[in-house]
Amino acid sequence: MTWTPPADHTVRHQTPWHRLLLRLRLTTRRLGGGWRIYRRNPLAMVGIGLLFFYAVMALSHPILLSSVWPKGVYDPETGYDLEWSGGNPSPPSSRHLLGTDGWGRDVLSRLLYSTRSAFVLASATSLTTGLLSVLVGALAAYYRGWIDAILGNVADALLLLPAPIFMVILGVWKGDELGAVGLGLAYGAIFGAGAAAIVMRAHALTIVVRAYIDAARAAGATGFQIISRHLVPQMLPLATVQMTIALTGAIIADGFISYFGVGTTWNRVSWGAMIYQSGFAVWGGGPPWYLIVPPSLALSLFAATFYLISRGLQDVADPRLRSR
Amino acid sequence: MIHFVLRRLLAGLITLLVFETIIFFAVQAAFPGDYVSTLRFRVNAEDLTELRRALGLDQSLVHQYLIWLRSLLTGHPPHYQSMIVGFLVRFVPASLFAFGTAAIAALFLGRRLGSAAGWRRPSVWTEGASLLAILSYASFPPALVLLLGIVLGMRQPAVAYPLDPTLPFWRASPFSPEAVLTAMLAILTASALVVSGLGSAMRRFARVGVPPLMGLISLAALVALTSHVLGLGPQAVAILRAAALPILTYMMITTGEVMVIMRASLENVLHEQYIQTARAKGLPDARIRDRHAARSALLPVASRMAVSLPYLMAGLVMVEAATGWPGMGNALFSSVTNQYMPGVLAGFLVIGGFTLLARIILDILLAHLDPRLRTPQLRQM
Repeated sequence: MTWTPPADHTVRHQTPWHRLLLRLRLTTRRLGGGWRIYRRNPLAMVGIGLLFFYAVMALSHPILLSSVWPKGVYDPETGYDLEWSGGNPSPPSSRHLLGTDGWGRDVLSRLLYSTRSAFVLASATSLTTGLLSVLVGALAAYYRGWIDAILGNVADALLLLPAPIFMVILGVWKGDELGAVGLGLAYGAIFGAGAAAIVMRAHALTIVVRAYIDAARAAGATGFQIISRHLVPQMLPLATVQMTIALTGAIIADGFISYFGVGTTWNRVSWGAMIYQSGFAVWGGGPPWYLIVPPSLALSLFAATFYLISRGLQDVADPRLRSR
Repeated sequence: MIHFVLRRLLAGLITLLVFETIIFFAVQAAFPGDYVSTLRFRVNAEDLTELRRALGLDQSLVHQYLIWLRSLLTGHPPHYQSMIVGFLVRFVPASLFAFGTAAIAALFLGRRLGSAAGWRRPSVWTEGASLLAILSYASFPPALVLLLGIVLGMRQPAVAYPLDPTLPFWRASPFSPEAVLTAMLAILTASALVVSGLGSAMRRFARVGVPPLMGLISLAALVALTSHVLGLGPQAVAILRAAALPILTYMMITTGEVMVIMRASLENVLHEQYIQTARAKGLPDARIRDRHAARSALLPVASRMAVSLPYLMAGLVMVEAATGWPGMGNALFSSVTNQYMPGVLAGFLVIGGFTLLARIILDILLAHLDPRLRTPQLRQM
């Protein structure tokens, strides 16, 4: 429908540009309200703090590498310190803040570099989960009937499939081709169309029965318009909760794949690969603590970050579950 | 109620069928070659094609799927069904023994901790406890295994095979580790049934319940007695010592999740009017929390756990692989790393089947507790 200016001369600023501005203002107001609710949950604030900390970790690596750290020494994959006389692997020192691994690479540099791979995995998983769960949930809830039956059955069946295990299979058999993005997509697909879709469908069902959907239908909106303008925006808060929950599992599953030396252990620098490669550091008695503890801690805390954030997002998303 | 059970079972069967289809095609798609190609370094080319034809692997994928389905259902050709049965007999009792115990213990412990944390006003202690719970739930299982191994004083905790049948201890004993594990599972289940039966009988007739600590001690005593009488004493001790690490790790992981969910659920229940009434009646705080609030809070916890069952299974696989426990998770993982596809298919089926069984039991339990869930129309309320 073409836009025609309203006849009333007192109704000004009704151009599409002003409508967009108004919508942006409403969104920021809603986000601000959400932030106020989120702020009340101390665990969620810890999560945000940890996320900020990891972001600093990821960003600091290229900065450090281009300024303070000489590239040949601190490169995460091929670094070697020719002036180091302490032997490899070596415990933390003033030159190598977390020590060096069996091949003379700086552990801190590798730790910081792995954050990048973890964030790539996180983005891939969360985007796929969000897209698929909202799509499946909205379609199933709006159209019902046979679409709902098929999607519901597929979601139920996918619920029986542990997504981390399937990621292990993909990592073992097709790990070299896939990398972090592919693994994240696979995990997001299984979780998004399975468990997350069931939750989103239940939520969408509570939205679809509201009066304004009927009003929109009576006004002549097509299914696509109703879903995109009314259903999906209401589902987004809960979708973010599902996205962060998916992230927790994906990160742990990815660490698990690399930990056993399958998949992309040698192509990609990641925390799990660091733990795996630490097994080669000494010839008996097990690897030293500074090769195992930092990556394990980083991995566990990264997964915990997103779970903590999901608790806060849940307070924002579902008013019934809010405490006090 | 019976209609609901029948309907749920039927829906479960359909889900299982869809699941098997998805598994078959997904695993086939992910597998780099087919089964015969893993032999390509030992067998020459003509024998490879002959083998492929004999195994039916040169047919279309849909045809292979139908043959596989027929083998599962009717047992002809026999190798798929016997593989599943073998899986069930050899690996499942070990997993059930370790992780069933851990899961049930975690449920009880998590419920207690969660209701204790959710009952009080939010303070440093409650938030700290929740933070610890989340950290243990989201932590990397192999790292947790290493950490607990160090705490328990084990020297080589990761990927040790304490139940390796070729160890001299097991070679000298008249029973195999799998047989002893199955026997231990049976003893544990029977003892648990006896103790809980006695407890409910006492509650009914003697008006006094069994305190949980006494119940645990009597359970342990009964298990020890039975295994000694059956001549399994030293083997049982070896198994329990080996099982301590996977059980503790899995308990930490599951308790974390149950506690967080239980706390959120209890905080929801706190505002109900019957809690206010109970306080007005003068009931002790702990009794209101345990007898009234926690029971209502359990329902949403149970429905949430149904959705997170596959992740508990994934945790099972990770802990088993990290500790070397010979259960179904480790069998699946070894099949995956050795590219043994029939083992992978069988492992997924068994794990999926158990998840489905657990979900069906959970749904039936929930419908028993909340009659509104028995009819689909009322379920939306």
